[in-house]
Amino acid sequence: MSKVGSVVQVAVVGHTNTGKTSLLRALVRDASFGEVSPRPSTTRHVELARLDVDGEALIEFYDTPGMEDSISLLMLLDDAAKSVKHKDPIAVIEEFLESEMAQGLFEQEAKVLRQLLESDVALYVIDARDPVLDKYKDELAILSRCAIPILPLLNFVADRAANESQWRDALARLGLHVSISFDTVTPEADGEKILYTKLAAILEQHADVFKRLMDNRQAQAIERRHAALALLAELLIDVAAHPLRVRSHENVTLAAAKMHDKVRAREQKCVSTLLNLYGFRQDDVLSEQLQFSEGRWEEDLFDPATLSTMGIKIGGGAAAGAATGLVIDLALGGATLGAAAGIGAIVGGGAQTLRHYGRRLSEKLASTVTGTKQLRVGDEVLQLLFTRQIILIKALEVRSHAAQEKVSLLPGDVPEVWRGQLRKVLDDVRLNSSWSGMDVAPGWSEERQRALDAIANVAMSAFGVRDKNN
Amino acid sequence: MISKNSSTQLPLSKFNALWLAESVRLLEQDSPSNLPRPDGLPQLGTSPTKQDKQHWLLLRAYSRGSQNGLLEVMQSWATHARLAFGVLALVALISGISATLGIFGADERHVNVLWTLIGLIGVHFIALLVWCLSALISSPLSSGVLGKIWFSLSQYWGRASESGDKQMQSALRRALTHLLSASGVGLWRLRVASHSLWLIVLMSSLVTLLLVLSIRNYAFVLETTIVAPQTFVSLVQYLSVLPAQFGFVVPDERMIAAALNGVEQVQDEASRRAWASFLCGMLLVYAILPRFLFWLYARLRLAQIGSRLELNLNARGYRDLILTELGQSRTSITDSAPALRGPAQVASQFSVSGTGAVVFGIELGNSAAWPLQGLASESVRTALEIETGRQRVDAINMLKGTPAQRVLIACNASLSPDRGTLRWIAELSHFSEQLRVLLLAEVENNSRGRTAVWCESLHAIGVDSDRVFADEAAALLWVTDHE
Repeated sequence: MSKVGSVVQVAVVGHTNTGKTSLLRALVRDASFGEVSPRPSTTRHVELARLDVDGEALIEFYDTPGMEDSISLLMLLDDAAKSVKHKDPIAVIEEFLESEMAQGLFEQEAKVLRQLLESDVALYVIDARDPVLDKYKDELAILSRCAIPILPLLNFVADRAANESQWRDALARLGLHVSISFDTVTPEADGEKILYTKLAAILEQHADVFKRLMDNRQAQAIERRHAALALLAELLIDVAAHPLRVRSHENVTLAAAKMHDKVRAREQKCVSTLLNLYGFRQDDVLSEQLQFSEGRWEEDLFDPATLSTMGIKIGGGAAAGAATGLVIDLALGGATLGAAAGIGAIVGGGAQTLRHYGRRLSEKLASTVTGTKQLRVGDEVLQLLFTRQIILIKALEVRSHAAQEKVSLLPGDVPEVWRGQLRKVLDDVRLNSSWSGMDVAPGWSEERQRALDAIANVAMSAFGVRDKNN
Repeated sequence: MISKNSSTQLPLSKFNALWLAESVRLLEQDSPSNLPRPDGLPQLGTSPTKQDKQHWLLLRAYSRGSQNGLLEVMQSWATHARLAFGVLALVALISGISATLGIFGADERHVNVLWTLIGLIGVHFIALLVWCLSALISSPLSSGVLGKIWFSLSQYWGRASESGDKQMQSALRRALTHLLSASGVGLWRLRVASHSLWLIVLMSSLVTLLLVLSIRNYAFVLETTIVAPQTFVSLVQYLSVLPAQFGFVVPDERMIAAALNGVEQVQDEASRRAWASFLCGMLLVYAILPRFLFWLYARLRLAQIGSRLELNLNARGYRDLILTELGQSRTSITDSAPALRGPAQVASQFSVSGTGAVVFGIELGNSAAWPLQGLASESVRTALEIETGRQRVDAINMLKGTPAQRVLIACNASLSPDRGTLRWIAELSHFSEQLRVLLLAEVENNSRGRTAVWCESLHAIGVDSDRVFADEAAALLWVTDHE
């Protein structure tokens, strides 16, 4: 067992087609690692995946080819052991690895064994839906001769057909009392933590490595969520602050259509950045696994039907027809001004309120003088954008990198936090065209930063209080 | 290990170095390409600490930035920021001087103490009060109006003189935004700028005041129309308490009374000195001192936040760079796939002549499908369950002794076909006239849809689809010779 610094080397082994590569995808959070297919012997090479903290490799996982002929191999090894009595089991394995068989018939198995001799621990991946067959026991018998600890990992335990208890029984009979259930497709929230805790218990001398890794993973999860919510906030500000100015002689329908496209493209950009952030692939996740068609949300953003299925009613402010979802900014309603100019508003944020109406007034004047109409994306669309990204982020957070099936985004998941706080923030955002990054990257300003933080905070509350304790 | 000697020291401030590194990362992320390692970049060493890695990344960014021109653009931005500050500082200086001169007037020989006091520190006092309040309720004004003006001005000039290409501009802007948002750096920078500019106003005011007082002779008066004289006495005394602690001479009751008597009375030397000292003390203690304390606090906070600023080594761009530098990619193939080897092939038929039929059920576990029903036929010699290696060998040996005319192998199609099983099937075929396979898909569950995979694998060893049954009844008919 060679040691390179304090890097822990873990061999991921098992019968063919039990999901070894999928397990690694889930552990290294990279949906593009290796190749996964429903066919057996998809992985025929040994591939290394490193888990690192701050660019320092802590764990090296080795994805190995599936064992496919353990029965014959075990017989071969048994015969070899008989010919020379009292031989060290490792010596028998090494002798086999030198033999011609290891270059021929058992080349794939030889790769596995070579890797095992180099590793600190083996994760033996089991498809728990399979019955406990003799050939699997033979595999374990061979592995146990490599004199490294084996941690059996029961995959697909979430499946109805899983024979989890039979497997645990059988493993106990083979002297393997510590095992772990880890569904690579739908892992439990703390599945990874349990896995590393068990590995740390087995490899006591490396316990600190696993501790560091777990701490880092947790910190990264929090960091990722913050980054995701910052992206969501950017999206909302970009869209909300972006004005569409239509001159009186221009075609509103045409201009609105252009605006729709722009907003859709902006959302698409956000989605793809989110996918990137969470380590999912663009191509397969977008078109198949999420409910997009041709890389777009299947339901159109500006379709009133979409809005109503998401539980959002179209209010009186939204323009109907061609300009659906865009609000004509007819600023200075007497009622609004009256309410906002109340004592509370003046005490609370006098300067802000004044600035607010100042801007509205100047915009109104400008539009009257130049004969342009100012259109902005309405609350309904912003609400939909917010909701969809929240649902997507939630889905991506729990999604395994081994998952192949579609994420089902149920309309019922609409967070209720939107209405009050967020609308207030976005009302202010709408008045600051320069905050929008639709055309050029906006510069930093304290106000924009505050708006971003405010939106991210509202979004954070959609994830529940639990996260604050992390 | 990188030693932090002069040869590897960066000629940039920490903030600018971080800004550059972040911009380089964004730029490389936007257009990823396998860039060569910059020349002259020191080695990272074998077991670098976090600091080493960060320093190395900053050095690398500096090399890359000086190569692709990003450094130049960034420095031009920084220059604009300094220029904007310089201009504002000049304006502040002039305002301080002119305000003070304005209050004292060119010909005026009598100085109304309270009026002058309001002129000297009144505006500032209100500004300070507003700022304190807005900082307390954390309103957007809390970064200070002057700081905002400075930042807008530097951004405006930076934009007006756009140098570098669009991508660089965008990367720099995004990186700066990112950095300024981080734990309030932006806010505290603006606050420091605001306080600095106010300090310049106040200091120039003080210097002008001293200058005016030292080269001209003034008489100090207190005037009132409606306020009782005693009020002035207590007002001046109260205000003097704090300056007196700092050693400023303060006017006593006699001097205040004299000042109240107005211009008619000739003021003595001591009175004049006391009033002059009073004015300076007021400016210093009630304006400059609090502003200085706020400035100092902001400076310290900024330094504190600044010292905690670091690159996020977990960001993928940085991680990959470090892994590559250390010779470890995130993933790599360490043992390549063996050459594709043709699988064992079933024998061509009729190579042997056998008798009767034999049925094998392979790896059917405890499934209900095994044993097959309806095998009670004279022609069926035996039906065996096969799972262990021993059973496999025994089966081969049995057929070696007496080859069979027909062999039917019932397979569990919910399992994956593997090389071992296929090889065993191929071996069996050598001792039978005909061999066919029954795929029992209904075993337990067929949610895995592996029947098609089995058909492909069987085809690969020479068992064509016409020799594979998916239907149990048809297989039974064939094996019992009732076709």
